[in-house]
Amino acid sequence: VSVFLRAVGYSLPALVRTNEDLVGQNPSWDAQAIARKTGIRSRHVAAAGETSGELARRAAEVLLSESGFDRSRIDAVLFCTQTPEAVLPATACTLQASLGLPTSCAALDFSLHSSGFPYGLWLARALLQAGSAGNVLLLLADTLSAAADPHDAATAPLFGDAGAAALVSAEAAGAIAEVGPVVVGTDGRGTPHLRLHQGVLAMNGTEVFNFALTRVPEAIARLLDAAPWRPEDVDCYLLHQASGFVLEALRRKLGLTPEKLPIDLADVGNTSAASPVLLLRRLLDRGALRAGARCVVAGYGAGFSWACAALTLAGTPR
Amino acid sequence: MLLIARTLEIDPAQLTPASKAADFATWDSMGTMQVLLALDDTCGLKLAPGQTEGLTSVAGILGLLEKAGKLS
Repeated sequence: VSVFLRAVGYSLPALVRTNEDLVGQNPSWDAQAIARKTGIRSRHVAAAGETSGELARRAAEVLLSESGFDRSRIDAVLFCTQTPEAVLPATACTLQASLGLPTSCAALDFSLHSSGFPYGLWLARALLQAGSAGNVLLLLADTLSAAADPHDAATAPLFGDAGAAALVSAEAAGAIAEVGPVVVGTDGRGTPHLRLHQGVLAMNGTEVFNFALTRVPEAIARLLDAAPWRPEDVDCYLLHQASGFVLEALRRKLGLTPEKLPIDLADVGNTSAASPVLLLRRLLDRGALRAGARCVVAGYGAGFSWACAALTLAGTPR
Repeated sequence: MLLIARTLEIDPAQLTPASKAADFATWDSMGTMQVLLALDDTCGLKLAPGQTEGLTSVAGILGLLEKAGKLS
């Protein structure tokens, strides 16, 4: 059974926090140095009471409105977040109601960080190929900016908030891409190095960097074997936008040009699981991806957890 | 030692086997990541989760290289 990506959409909170705002809270910091080290100049942050579920709902409404897809045909909603509205109930259940999805719709949260989008494609693909669903709405959102200590130089400049939506379907008509193989992986030894504990985000940046530098190229190699694609067959690597430093290091390690491994986080920051969707959609909106382009989507983050998916864009991407 | 000095933009004469990250302004967390990247580039050094603490001192780096069989 072939699996297709019908549409993608995203939402950003209205509130923007600039590097200058961060310096206002931390006079010893330097706005230019933050931009130089992270590639980030500003990020959108959720206002008080603006939840991950609300960001996901808005992203889904954008997707449904733009695609014109009949929401009564959605069989499952999968919501990836590390910052759910509540431990109980699942935010996906709230989203089923707020989006007006049928009560026959499956709804569940899955708790992953920046591996969430390709991991969600892996889950959706499995549901579709098993015949358990025909149309899966994959939602991803986090509000990690509120969990970052505003005085922690490792996390406060990095994280922005966003919601993202992707409609994964067994129907080829109207698709923007075909979803090929997906590979996933886990190394739980990384658990202490990026965690949200008692409401506070803590990150050992060197450990996370070491993980990304090691596992992402390995996962991409596994995916290329599974596709099977040669490295030169790939038009674009859509990597989780962790930070400019991490992405430039991966670009160098993989021997890729800026066109093949785009960095696009200056105005949004690291938006966790939503980030590859934002990247894909923003590249499509700019016309930066050719029809038929072969793309590798890679997500990597807390756990440590990672996933890579093969996407082949349709003739007239949107 | 030269690789560490060049990566961190430190005068090599200032680096000794007893040098630690705290002794140098450029050897902050970003500097440590740059050292990791340089060691990966030049020696192919791969570290398991939990091993990067060793990158915050010259002795620690030499220990990691020795353990990985990268010291000739």
